[in-house]
Amino acid sequence: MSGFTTLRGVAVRSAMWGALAGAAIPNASATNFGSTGTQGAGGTNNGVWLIFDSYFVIGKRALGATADASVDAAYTSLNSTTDIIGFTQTYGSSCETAAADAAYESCFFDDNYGNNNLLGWNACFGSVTGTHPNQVCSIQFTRLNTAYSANGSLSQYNACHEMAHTVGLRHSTDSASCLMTFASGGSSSTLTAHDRAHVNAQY
Amino acid sequence: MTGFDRGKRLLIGVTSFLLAACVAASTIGSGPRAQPDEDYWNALRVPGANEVEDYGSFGDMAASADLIVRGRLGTLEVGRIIRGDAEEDVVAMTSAGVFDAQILAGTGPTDGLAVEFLAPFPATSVQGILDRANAASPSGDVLLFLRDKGGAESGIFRLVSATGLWEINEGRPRAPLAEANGLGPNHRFAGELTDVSSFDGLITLVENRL
Repeated sequence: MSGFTTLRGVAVRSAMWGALAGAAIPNASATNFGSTGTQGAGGTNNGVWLIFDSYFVIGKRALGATADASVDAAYTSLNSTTDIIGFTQTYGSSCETAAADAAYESCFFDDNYGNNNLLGWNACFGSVTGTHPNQVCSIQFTRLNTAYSANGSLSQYNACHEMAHTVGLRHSTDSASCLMTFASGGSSSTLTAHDRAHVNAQY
Repeated sequence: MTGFDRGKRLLIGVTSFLLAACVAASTIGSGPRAQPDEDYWNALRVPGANEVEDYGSFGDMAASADLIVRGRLGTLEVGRIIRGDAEEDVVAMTSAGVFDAQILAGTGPTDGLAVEFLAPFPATSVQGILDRANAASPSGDVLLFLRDKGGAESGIFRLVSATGLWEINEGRPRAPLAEANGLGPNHRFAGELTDVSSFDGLITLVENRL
């Protein structure tokens, strides 16, 4: 199934480039920072949130080798090029606990979640504070869907993209940024100076 | 990290209390909802999602979809549960039946057709969220551009993308799930929708793109 869906995605991307060729591209330097998460009854849902402060601790949960390396690479890049500090840790216990909530800003998971059209997504599993665009989630669950991102470069792009969302960055129209959406042609596995400036302004 | 953790716990406790107080106050004081369908759409939105498929026109979307159908969405129900390697990695899917389905293009069932959605919430919260969503089920027709998931999931339909669901809201075409990504109600399709103010008008537009 992975090959089938990836091929379909590539075909769609090609079609998208054709469609976008004559369209006006929004200014790549426009603001792409701030929380967007929505809330429903009984819990907090999906979207982009901020973290409390510059301490950013990631719990890696049963990641496959490719995703594990990609999360490490994305974190190392974030840690070395912005004011974000902290570490990643392969976590052996459930992230569904108060202890994990206190210790981690995000737990990362990977699996073949099926042909659901999403390379990855974030869910706030803890409590939220504040209001948009500065809403903070105490712990996020970040999923990397290996149905689409099994290969190395795509996995790195996906990890960078989802990790950037966990600190408050939104989608970008800059092809040099991993925050450009996949369907729009995104493939970079790094943040841009513009992205990093947003992070450093907040944390 | 010990001092930091203590501080974080204290902050969580204080802010949770304040948040609960705010929620209680807003509940007591809330009036009629401006858009009663919003709880339903909120349950299906995935802000910040990185989609594999996305489209810039009805023509492209229609050409790619496996099935294009008009109908009414039923209540959302908890569907398949996908479990990852970690014990707490539990991903719930939801599904909604499509009633009075009329197929505009493609092949698929008109009886028993259902659309599957990701429920990007903690699995333990899904039922409560769906209960609230179903109290706000949309009553009007929707236009759906669907993908047969294929492979091991063959026969299960999802939207081709967040722009694969359209309704008419206050006389204007709207793709409510696409709004989660910070897009306007008509997304990139605005140029095609200038003269569309009714659901039949929307259907005619799509039929002209087939």
